[in-house]
Amino acid sequence: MSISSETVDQVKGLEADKYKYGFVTDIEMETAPKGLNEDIIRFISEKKEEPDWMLEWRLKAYRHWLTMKEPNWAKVGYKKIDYQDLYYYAAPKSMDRPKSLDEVDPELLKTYEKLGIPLKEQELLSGVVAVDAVFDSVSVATTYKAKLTEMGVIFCSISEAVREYPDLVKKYLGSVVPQSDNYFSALNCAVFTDGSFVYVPKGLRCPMELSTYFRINAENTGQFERTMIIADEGSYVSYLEGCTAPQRDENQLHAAVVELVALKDAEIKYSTVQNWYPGDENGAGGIYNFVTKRGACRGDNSKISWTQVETGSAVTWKYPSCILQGDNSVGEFYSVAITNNAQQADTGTKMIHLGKNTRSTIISKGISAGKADNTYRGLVKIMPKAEGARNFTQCDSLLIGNSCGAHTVPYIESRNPTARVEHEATTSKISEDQMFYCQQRGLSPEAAVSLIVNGFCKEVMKELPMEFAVEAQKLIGISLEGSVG
Amino acid sequence: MNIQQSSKLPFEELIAESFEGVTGDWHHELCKRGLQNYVDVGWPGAKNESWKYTNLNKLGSHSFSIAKDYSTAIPEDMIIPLDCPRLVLVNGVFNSELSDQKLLPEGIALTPLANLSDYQKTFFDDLRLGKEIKYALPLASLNTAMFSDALVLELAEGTELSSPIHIISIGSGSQITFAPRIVVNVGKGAKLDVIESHVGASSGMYFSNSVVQFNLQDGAKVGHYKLQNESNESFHISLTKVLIKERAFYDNFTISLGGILSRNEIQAHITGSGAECCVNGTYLGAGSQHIDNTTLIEHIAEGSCSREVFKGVLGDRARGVFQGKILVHPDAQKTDGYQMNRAMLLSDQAEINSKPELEIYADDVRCSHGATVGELEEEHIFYLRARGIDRERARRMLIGAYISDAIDEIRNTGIRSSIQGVAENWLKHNLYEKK
Amino acid sequence: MALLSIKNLHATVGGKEILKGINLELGPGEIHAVMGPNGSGKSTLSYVLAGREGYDVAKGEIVFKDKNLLDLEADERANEGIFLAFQYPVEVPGVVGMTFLREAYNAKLRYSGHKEADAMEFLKFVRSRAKTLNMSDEMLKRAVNVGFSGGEKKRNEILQMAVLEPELAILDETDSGLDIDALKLVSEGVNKLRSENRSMLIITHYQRLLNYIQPDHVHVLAHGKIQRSGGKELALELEANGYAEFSGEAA
Repeated sequence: MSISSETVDQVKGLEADKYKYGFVTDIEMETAPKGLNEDIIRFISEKKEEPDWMLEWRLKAYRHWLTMKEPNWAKVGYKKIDYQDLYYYAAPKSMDRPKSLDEVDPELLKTYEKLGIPLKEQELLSGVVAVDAVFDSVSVATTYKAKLTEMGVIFCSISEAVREYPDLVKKYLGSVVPQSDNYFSALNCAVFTDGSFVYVPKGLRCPMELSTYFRINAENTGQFERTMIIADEGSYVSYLEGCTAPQRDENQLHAAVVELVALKDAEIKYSTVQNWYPGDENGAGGIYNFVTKRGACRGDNSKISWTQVETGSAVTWKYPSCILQGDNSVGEFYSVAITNNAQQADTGTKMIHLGKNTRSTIISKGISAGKADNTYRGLVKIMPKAEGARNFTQCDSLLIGNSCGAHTVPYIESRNPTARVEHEATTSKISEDQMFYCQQRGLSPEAAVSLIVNGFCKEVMKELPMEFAVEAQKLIGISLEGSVG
Repeated sequence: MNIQQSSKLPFEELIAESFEGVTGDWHHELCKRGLQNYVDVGWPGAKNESWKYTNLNKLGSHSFSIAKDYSTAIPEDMIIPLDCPRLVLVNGVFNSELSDQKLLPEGIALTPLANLSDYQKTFFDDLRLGKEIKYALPLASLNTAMFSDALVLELAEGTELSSPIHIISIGSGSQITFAPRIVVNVGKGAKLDVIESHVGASSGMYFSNSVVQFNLQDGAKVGHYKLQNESNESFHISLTKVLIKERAFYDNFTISLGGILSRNEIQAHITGSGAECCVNGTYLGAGSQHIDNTTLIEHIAEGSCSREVFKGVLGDRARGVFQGKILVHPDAQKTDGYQMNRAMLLSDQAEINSKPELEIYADDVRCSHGATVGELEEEHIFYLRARGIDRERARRMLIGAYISDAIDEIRNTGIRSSIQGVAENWLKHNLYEKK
Repeated sequence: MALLSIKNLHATVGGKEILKGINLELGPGEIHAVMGPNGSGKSTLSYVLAGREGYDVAKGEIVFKDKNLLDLEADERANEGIFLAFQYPVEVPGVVGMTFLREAYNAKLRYSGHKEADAMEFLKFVRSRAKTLNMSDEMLKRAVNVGFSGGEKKRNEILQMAVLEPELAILDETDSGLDIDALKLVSEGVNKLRSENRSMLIITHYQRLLNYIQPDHVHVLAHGKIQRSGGKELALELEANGYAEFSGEAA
């Protein structure tokens, strides 16, 4: 039997997947009434004890959103979302902004422990990671805050930042992703509940990895987090983001916005391991992951690097982008997207070259199995003033089985003769020779696929911080379980 | 018809005019269906993904009239210089005086539109892949609504022609529009080379909206080489639709030089195993020319291969568009697809938009594409200069070499050198010795 | 008792019968050479033993260590102790040699109910194996076989063999594509791995490999059958006379 036909059989015979984060935390929640209108937005704003300008900003976004249409150009299909049938705010009742970790509901601490994210300030094997934990609509805890504050790093929930650092927030909020940017980002502007805020002061190389862990728990709740990172002149920060959700039969909406700003000589490294619940093998349930992530290299010699390992979600619509404004600024996008069963992913990046000698690199690895569809969609745009701009793009797709699809849709637009853009793409499958070679050395077909796929993704995986790389590697194996052997 | 619409679509009134006095024969019914399809989709705008980079507002708002004059002389210096039988269309209508109908070799048949058999009429069936909007071919539908004559060529099974056939479409007159329609049906195991030249008789401004169809039956071998050299201010929109059956071989090359706005769209559908399809080309733009090459290569059957190489040089304010898609269906296992687009910008105001695309539903395939955008490598220029060649000459040599690399894809050596000459001539007059 | 016993083996590839009744017995520690002209079925035999898909056994039996080999998948056979040194070792992009080897080594340990090896211990072990073969473990830092020369690929196979310590090693045309120096190096490696617990089946077209690795028995395979068997002198005879004797369709 050929590998592919065997794969198909195995996919067919596959029992419900092994999503180990699919449990639900039983905790009393406070929610806003279902549906969306100006009152709900006022409710959220009030809950967050926001100043008036913030509420006005939200309402303005909401009014604009009402005039917009949901985009349909991506190569994904999903049931129409009823925006009035969602909860826009859900928070654990016990949560009255705990002052320290000791005050956090033990049930919540247990949840994060179970997820492998202990909210304790302890030295990890390979370095120190400060964690902001977001549970549905609120940030429940931020570790190492005191230590970071000492160095001048602000790392807190965005709700707190709105209250405590209004000038910084006002200056940068919506400056990278404008309110009217797209349908989902406009919605986020109106109803965003929580997320992380990071400011790294001039000249500081942030010595710890900052990390946010997002968890959707409540039923029928949309998660609309908003993250903002500002790296002041000459600073450096590495930020990690992880996400999981319980296994539910209905789809859940996750429409986040991430804005990054790198000033002169600053560098931001943003890594994501996205493992939202992907739905079952027939496509029931799972997260709709409609996310707008964008970074602005505002200053000369600045750098923004996106690394993502996307294994979860039923539908992914996500294009972490870089606007290369400063001269000599650098944008990078490293991506592994794995789709299995009925998952659909339409993901890629945009590199907008505005400044002189700006450089960008795009490495995308798409793996498609089961009945999944996996699309890379990317734009490289060279504006007239981007003298000497350079881009290199490589997109490789791997197909496992004969019922899935892999697509590459790059857009290349150049208006400067001194710019150089190179794009390469390949599509192939795991060869039977490779499989047999591995099996002859004693590896099971499943181990062989996992090994070969990890090799295929290596260029991207090596960009991940150590703490994440190991987890991501395991995740790849788990995501492809049942696709072979 | 479309009553809700307050204003009519471009050309809608002209079509109505062309329908006057026509009886309800097969051709007229076909035109009516074409019009309906055109009205259903409407004039392509920026929202239409396939026309994202080519704006037709100027074309749509210009007022044209239908060509009435069908005689002129062949502008010999504009076409590919080759000694072979010619078939000439003037403003989309066959001109027997300018054509070498009598020189056509045995085995090849030319049938006037009025005498088409029922089988031949099926060649004119709907060209769209489906009713969905993404398959819409608004301009091809417009051609179906408007064409007044068609060139229908058939090569009998097993016939191998040693000399090419040269089809020449001449635009003659000013402010006119016409819709050339050409069908070439190549029988089983037959072999044929076709040259297709699109030229203007004078400097008049016109709009040529052509549809060219090639049907390759099992084992047919076809070379199809197109020169787009319309007059400077003219519009050229064309769709080349190719059906490739088992073990057939299709070798296509397009060189685009002329017109103010042109679109060369090719859709090749490989429905038989063991078939091979090459879609290549070069585009040379100067002034404020806009040149669009849009291709779709569809692998439907198992075990076929395709190869695509496009190279462009853009000077002044010229804009180039390349959109190329390889689509591999689930059953098209063992597909081997390759696509490469390279563009060179020679001026600060030139622009290229490129979208090479892979859409793949079969796992046992080998598909790759690449695209590069840039200028001449300074290193290469330096190397030549270090050998004593001056900068300008070095630059010309490198541009020439860059273009001939694409032209080398042409399998027919005689035609290859003729097209090479045409390209060199263009570079000389438009880039090197201008002003 | 035989380690490997092949009885009346018939095998087809793509519906075509390639092996037409092979009989062969290998005792522990014995080295057998199978020689034959191109297209005689030599590589087919090695793939059938290793359990490659598409190589279907139509008739006959293969018993390895008292087990019916045909009941086992390719990876199970490897873990039972069968190692195939490939004629054309496959490139596995991105997978570092050391990782690959550790996965294979641990798979075998797990198969036999042992605990997986400690990463550091394993590294030391591999280094020591490489040293006995006069090879550097430099190759193992690169992706498996990617960008390797022909000689490097074959040496890599022998190093893997040294680490995985099989009971039966099948060397499929290990000499092909090697110059004389590389051939010597690879043969030396193989000779170092000779032991009374390890049998080898050396598949080759030419006698020259057998100058370096001395077999106990030589078999001539042609038209899908063993046509003659003898001692190592048979190889020399073949070298002198070629395969002409076996070129006609055998009765």
